[in-house]
Amino acid sequence: MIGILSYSCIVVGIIFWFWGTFPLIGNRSVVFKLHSLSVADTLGSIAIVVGLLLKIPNEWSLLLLAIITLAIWNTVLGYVLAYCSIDGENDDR
Amino acid sequence: MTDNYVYIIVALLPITALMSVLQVNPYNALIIRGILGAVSVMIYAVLGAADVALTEALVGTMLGVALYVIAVRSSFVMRLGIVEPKLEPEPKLELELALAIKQRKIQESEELNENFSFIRETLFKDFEIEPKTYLPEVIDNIRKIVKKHYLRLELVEYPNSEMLEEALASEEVHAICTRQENYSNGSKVLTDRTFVPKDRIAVRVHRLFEILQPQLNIPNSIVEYKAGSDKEEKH
Amino acid sequence: MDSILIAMILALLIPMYEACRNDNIWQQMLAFGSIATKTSIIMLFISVLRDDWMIGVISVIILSVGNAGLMLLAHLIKGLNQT
Repeated sequence: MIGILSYSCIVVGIIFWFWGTFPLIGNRSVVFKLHSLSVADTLGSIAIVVGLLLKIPNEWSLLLLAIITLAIWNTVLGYVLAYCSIDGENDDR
Repeated sequence: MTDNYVYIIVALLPITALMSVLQVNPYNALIIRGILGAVSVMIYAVLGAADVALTEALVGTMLGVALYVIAVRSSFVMRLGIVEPKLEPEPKLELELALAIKQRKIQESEELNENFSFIRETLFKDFEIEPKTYLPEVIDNIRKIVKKHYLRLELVEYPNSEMLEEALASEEVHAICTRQENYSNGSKVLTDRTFVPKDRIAVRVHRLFEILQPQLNIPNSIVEYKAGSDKEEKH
Repeated sequence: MDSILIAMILALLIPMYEACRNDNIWQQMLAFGSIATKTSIIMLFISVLRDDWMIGVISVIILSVGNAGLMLLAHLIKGLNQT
């Protein structure tokens, strides 16, 4: 039961990854890509790590640290990148 | 240890290395270098060398790329010396200035001095007089040409043309740009027919001269090469 | 498990292709950020797969430090475009 749950978490995370990364190929603006990428990367990665946590609970401290790091740093990074790229890009938005 | 996925992960390294080599713009190449660093960290960790991976991430990717960006940014620059534009009001305006001062009837001389500068500033603001930009079309053109070669153009202003020439000779700047106004020789009398503003761009670095010479096509401008004391190669 | 890992590596290839194809510096920064996150998650996955604490600790450190370095780089490039 736990095994099925963990596998499904990991698969959902990978689906999130693909869903968020495919818009990167198109010719959209940086902010649009940043939006989909930050959502997909953060949520997909957290889903994968939760799946791993269910699978192997004895490494829980490390995985919990990874989840916290992902949740904080990725949002901050998304904000910083948006702030910098809006300022520096006026030519081909 | 020799799982199948290890081969796939290791195959990513030459791909990213090739990408980084093929980039033309130095900044893009540095970002791809960061990607190469991330991929190599993954490979080192997968192969079991945790210390090497940590060093690569901290030093190779973070510190190295940041330092290289700073180094490229401060060295890929062309310094162009110009004579700084003079902020001189036109005579008619000077008259109005005097009128304005008279109208305000300021007695004390100290106060007058302060107020004079104040009035002057406000007048300048009112009449929307900007300090005359010097040679805008030539500078824009040079900036555009130089940008194709990923160089930045930095303007350095000097108070007069003698100091400008001296700065070129002492290698403070890479090139200077001056506007020569043709006077009839010696007597400094301006006749209508001989007044042709002529922009002269003297370049100290030979490679920059090679870049600028064929591409700068503005009428009445010449590019000339002035050999410095040493043959420094730029870019 | 191997097939999941190969799917992750395929997802890693997409931003790489994007970074190679696009010349805009901010798009490349986006791709770089994506790759940095994905590589550390793959490392974490492998560490759990092998039950190896060492790789796991390294991957978590890189997850946080790499993001910090990325922010530094973004600010440097922003200052570059302004001048």
